[in-house]
Amino acid sequence: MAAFSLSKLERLRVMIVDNSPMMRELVHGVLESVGIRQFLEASDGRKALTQLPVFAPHLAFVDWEMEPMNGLDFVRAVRALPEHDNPYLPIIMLTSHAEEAWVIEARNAGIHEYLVKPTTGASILARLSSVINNPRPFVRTDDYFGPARRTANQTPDAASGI
Amino acid sequence: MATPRPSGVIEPPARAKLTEFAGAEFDERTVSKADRAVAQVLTKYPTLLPDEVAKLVSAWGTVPAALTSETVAPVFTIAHELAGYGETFGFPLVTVLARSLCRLLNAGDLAREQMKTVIDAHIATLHVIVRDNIRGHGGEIGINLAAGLDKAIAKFSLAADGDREGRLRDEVAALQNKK
Repeated sequence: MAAFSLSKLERLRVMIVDNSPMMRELVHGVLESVGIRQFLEASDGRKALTQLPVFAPHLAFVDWEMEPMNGLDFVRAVRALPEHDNPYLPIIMLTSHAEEAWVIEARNAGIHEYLVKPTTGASILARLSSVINNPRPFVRTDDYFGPARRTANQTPDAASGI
Repeated sequence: MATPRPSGVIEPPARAKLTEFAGAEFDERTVSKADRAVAQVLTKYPTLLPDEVAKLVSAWGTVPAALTSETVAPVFTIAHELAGYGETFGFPLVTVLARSLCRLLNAGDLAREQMKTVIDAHIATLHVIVRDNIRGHGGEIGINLAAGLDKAIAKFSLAADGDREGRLRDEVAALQNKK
């Protein structure tokens, strides 16, 4: 199989949703360094939602604490979208909430990956690689719609275990 | 009324599975480049950390005497941001202590009289760390600062549910063992 060319990532459209301009710039900088060129940035979930149909991202990095719409509500809103609006959007939650209860809440809202700040280039690329190379089926039950949740022994580590 | 969607396992469309990008790998050189990109962004924000600490001090100064989750919400928001910024800017002690402050504000019993004293101590310590440029784990100073806050939390039995005694000291000690 031919080696993957990072130039393919030029076609990847990434949405970055964070209330901190510095964090948006940081995530943008890391992704740009690997060849990603198409970005849409938003400072809260509501602004991001309005841009979804226009930008049609392939994936989103989303902070938790934002006003007026926080990241968790954004995830729930995306998962409730009709089929043609891509409720399957891969979402990486990037947050300072490190406690297990928060991770579980985010997982139950339907995120793909959880990344605890502080953020490094390596940690962002690791989550990006995971989303790209380990696509998961979705599950719909009475109270959940989102990527199939990993079982405890499949969880990579406590800080990112989804 | 919307038609209920059927339960079960669903295979997302190829676009959502990012099939066209499958195989993307990031070697050591690429990761180093990404880390350099982070470092470059950080140079653009030399005053962000002290500015956030100043905001924290100021927000705390306006909180009325009777603490409630509503009145401390602005303080929580800034402490939460600080937790994210700290280690990113080379101040992991800030991350550890700001997280502790978030736990107190989020899960602690705000009605307890001594809570104010312990929150004061957290904010004063964060201020000192940034003012005195105590980067990294802070060595013996870091351990002492963490142990001091642990003692205050334990003295007034203010630990949030699930917290263990000496948690901050352990977390700072773990920083020292981290490569």
